[in-house]
Amino acid sequence: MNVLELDALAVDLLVEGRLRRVIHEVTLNVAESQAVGLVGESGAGKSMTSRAVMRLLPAGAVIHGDIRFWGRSVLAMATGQLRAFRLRDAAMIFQDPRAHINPVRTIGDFLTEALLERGESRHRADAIVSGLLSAVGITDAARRMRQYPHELSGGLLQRVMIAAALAIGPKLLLADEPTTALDVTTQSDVMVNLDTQRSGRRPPTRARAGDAIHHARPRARGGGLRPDR
Amino acid sequence: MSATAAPVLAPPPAAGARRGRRRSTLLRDPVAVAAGLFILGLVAVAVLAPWIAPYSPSAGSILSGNEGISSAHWLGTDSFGRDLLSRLIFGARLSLLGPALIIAISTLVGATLAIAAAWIGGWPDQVVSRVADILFAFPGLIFAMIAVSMFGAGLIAPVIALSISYTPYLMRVVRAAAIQQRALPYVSACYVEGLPAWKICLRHLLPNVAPILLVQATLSFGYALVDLAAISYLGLGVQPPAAEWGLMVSEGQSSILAGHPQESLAAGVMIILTVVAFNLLGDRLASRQGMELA
Repeated sequence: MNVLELDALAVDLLVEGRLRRVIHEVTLNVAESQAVGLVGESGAGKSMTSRAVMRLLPAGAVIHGDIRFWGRSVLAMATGQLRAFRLRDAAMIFQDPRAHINPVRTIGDFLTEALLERGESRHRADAIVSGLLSAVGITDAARRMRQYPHELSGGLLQRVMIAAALAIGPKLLLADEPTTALDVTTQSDVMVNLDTQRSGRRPPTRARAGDAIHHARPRARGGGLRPDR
Repeated sequence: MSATAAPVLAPPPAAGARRGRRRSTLLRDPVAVAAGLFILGLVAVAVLAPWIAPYSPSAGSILSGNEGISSAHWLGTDSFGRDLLSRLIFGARLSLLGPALIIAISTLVGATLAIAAAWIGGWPDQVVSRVADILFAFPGLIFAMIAVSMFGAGLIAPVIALSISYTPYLMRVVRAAAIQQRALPYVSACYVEGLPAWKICLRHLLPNVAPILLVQATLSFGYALVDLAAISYLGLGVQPPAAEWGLMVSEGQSSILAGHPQESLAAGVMIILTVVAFNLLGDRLASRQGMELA
């Protein structure tokens, strides 16, 4: 069974009070430990597709078709099930880490939050997170965890975001242009890192959007996406 | 991307970011430091009143009434011969406790309603906002007088009435900030982490609106103090022989024509200084947040 199946997914968004179709019939499957890349120009709907999987679409959006996670419809999930799905099964790396990390809480708080929410002890959560931080190439984990987001560079923050996504050991990892904010050398570091994480340990399966596609061995499936602006 | 592409707009920095740096700039602002120290000093005086006041606030002989400044009575005595300095010191307790209760209640209720309304949106938000609009139309003092006429004079009735009438002020400011914060991407990142809504509100939204909440609460404290003093002055608040500044202004009134203004004057000056200190501090906190005050 596939980890993720998008079945004729179409999304309508409210644009100036009218529904407009922004994603046309996307059908794709992601098997276990497989990396799938979405390729498309700006505005093609790469981010919207991945946000639809997490049910993060803006208010008023209408979704057609189906999104299935291991055969279970994500669209049909009730609030509690959806929260459990986000908490345990799926994680997302956002494009702009600075906007997606609460500025008034420390990096450590941000990283351990989901683990604590799952009932891990503070001690264990800290241990898991500092392990992950060194895995993504941040050496002085203890110090970084006490710092606030504004004290870190964009590249470091992106790694923090990746560590946060990996922290819950997700079965599905959605990476929405995980390397856009990074310079070229860091980009390849991060992609190699994600690949190691995928093939090492318990392999998370990943669908991702963006430029750094060539690093993985992707089955690029851009066919269903048509730019519509 | 072409070279002429519009510059990417940075997301508005959330309130409270870079707090370490901002805290230090506040400490370098002499006005804010002076106002803060004055308020801290007042609180210390109120707490330590029984140990630092030279006399009991209620002890005195009518024979030594309306005395001027002397080494025995630094500020003189009132018409009952009670030491004014001691009454001012003890008066700080009730005079600060009342506004503190008002601000505590209205901040708690206002922030809770505001964040809930901003989060849920839709008709609950409309109901809360319209009720707040109606409350805005009621002057707090009149509301307090109605409460006193129903429940009797004292500290409790005016405090509850003023808490209700101060709630919409805090609510309006916090609701606007919370709606703004709610739309920021870090909130959707919280969704993705699988956090329940109340935890996102409490741990993420609240700390981000806290600076605005602090400014509004500080400014409101000054207004609440004046309102409560006015109610005491009218004889609707705490009753004699309790020591309270608003009450002292009114009690000293009869002595003014006899040429002994010291009681009203001393209590009035304390009210003014305290309110000015709170307003200055609130003002400095606000400008640190880049807020415009109406």
